[in-house]
Amino acid sequence: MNGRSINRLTAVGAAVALALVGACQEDNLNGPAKIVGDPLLDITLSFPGNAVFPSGSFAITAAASRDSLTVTLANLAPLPAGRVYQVLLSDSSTVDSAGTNNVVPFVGRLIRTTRAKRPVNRDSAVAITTIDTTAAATSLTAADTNQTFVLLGTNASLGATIANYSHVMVIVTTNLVGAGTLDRTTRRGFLFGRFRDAKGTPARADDTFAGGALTFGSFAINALTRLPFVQSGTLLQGAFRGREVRMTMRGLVRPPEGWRYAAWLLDDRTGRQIRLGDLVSPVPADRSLEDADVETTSDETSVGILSAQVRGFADSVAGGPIEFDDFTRVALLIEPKGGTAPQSIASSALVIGGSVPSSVATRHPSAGKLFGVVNSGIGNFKNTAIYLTGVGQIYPLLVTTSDSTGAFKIRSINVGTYTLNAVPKDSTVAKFTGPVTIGKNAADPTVGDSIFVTINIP
Amino acid sequence: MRRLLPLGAAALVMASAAQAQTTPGKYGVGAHIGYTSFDKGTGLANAPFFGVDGAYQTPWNPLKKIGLGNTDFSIGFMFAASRPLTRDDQFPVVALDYGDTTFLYTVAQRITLLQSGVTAGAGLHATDKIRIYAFGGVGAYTMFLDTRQNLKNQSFNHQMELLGGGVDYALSQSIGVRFELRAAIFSGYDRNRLDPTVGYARDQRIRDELPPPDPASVRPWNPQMSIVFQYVPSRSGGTEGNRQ
Repeated sequence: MNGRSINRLTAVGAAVALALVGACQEDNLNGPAKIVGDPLLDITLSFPGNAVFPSGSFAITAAASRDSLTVTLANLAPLPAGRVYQVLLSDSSTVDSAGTNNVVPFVGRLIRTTRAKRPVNRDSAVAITTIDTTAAATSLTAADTNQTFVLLGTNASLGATIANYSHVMVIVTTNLVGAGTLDRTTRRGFLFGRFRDAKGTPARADDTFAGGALTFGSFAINALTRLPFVQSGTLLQGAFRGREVRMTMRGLVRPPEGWRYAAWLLDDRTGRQIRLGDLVSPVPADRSLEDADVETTSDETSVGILSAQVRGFADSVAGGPIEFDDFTRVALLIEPKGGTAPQSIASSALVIGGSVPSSVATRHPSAGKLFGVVNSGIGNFKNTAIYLTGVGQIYPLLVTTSDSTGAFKIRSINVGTYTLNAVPKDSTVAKFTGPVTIGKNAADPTVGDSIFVTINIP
Repeated sequence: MRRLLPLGAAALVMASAAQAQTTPGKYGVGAHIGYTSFDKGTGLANAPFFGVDGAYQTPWNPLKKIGLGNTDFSIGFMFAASRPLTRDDQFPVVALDYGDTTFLYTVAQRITLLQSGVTAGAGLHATDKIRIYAFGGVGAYTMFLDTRQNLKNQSFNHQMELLGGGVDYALSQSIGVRFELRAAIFSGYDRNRLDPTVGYARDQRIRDELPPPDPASVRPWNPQMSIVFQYVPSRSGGTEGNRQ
């Protein structure tokens, strides 16, 4: 091969190599863009109008001795396992007196009123009110919005002089608190009110006493440190995304002491409730903000949480895996914290919430049907009231009555699990209670199943 | 043996011709086909490049003055062009809202990168056909951003330094092939200028959609590997190879 041939071959080789490399550019001229991940199915978030926060009132006897105090509490949220509510009295005027206890537990007679309702038939229901009394109660161990608690304490039951204290407060605790001290700036409790005004003087002669409503929020002896709780938040955004639901928000007020934010999925059709998890700090930290009521970190100011998010995963959530379309609402609420296990029932103290968007909800199968018959050993099966509640719920969702043959039917019932109750005619309580699940139709999973149940009443 | 004799003679001819490529006073040009492995902190995806260079073998050779024979010294220029893509995972995700559904996109852009500079190099003749060389240089790099994505003509340029070397294999007195490796060092580099997204479109909700970007580099070293087809013309209008 001579030099000229080598030159030509080299030039041709270079040209071919250039053409090959140039052919590697295949992207669009207007720039490459790629969809990443699943689309966000947006949730419109707002402040729920049906939120119910703990409330209460207090009244001190008008007698000159001021030796009895009545505290009424309502709408207390369900407690996590191992936690109780406790009422304390504190005195702001002796906070600076070294060696003096300015906190004392409130002990007294407890009257608990529990309200429930069950249907008699499709057109009427009966309200049931249960009242029970406990002497020398030191704490409240269970609560829900259908209960009201009245605590009546006296100097004798407390073993202390009520008139020596100025404020009443309610706390969430694991171990009952005894007499102790509370400094000026430590936040404590979630409901508080003042029944004695010391007028800023050490003299007792000018003190005035009054009852009033309890304030929901963190108490502190220094008035400026107290933090009433309100629904708050800005830049609210939420979306379902594949098997994850996420909400982001800014500017939440710190929860009251002993409380935390948590996110729940709620199904208004079946009463089903699933706890998604705690509020966490923004990615990538994803740090739990369970202690946002008292902790001091860069995620919080003295009054609020700068930025936060909720992340819930359908496959790993407690009680899961779940399908998001089985729920109608997503909610950020506050609930008592701590304990050995989180609540199984959602608090009604809703802060932020939104409906499951139609893009998710429409995946839910259409309603199924429930048929059944009541068999009774005494043959008294006619006009048996049949009603369904959500699992762990008390209020009826669907009601019907059996006919003269004992048969009953509910023509439209959403897919889900319920508790079926049967109250025979002339009875006041359910004689049958059991679970019933309406699943998806095996042949067509877009519709609910039709099932038949037999209720045997002894 | 008879067959080997002509081959040996031809090799001697080519060897002597190859040495002629680096005769002082001569110049040569090369066409580069190469690949740039960009520093991860540049936000650029690796890409091929094309380029040319030229070198003049100076009669003055400082290496010989320090006792290194069989060496050469040259000054020259270089130019390279490439169209790398920005790495979409290094820039914010964009959210496009369609009613109650939002799609997230990663966005890249194809830029035009031009490099030019002057070089000075030295070579060592390992054998009659193989020359090992090294060079350094200084110049500038210019980046032209995608006009459609940025809605305007936008470019910027900064200083660039070059360090490299390679192996030169002479095919004839006029033609050679070089395998070259060099580092193009970009000064004053600002990755954020390559961000094709706009503030209002950036997603604020799923901030962990992508892993954290690589740490930004302000003076990235970008290795460039290339095959260079070299041509050394003769002064008489033809190649010296033609005259052998």
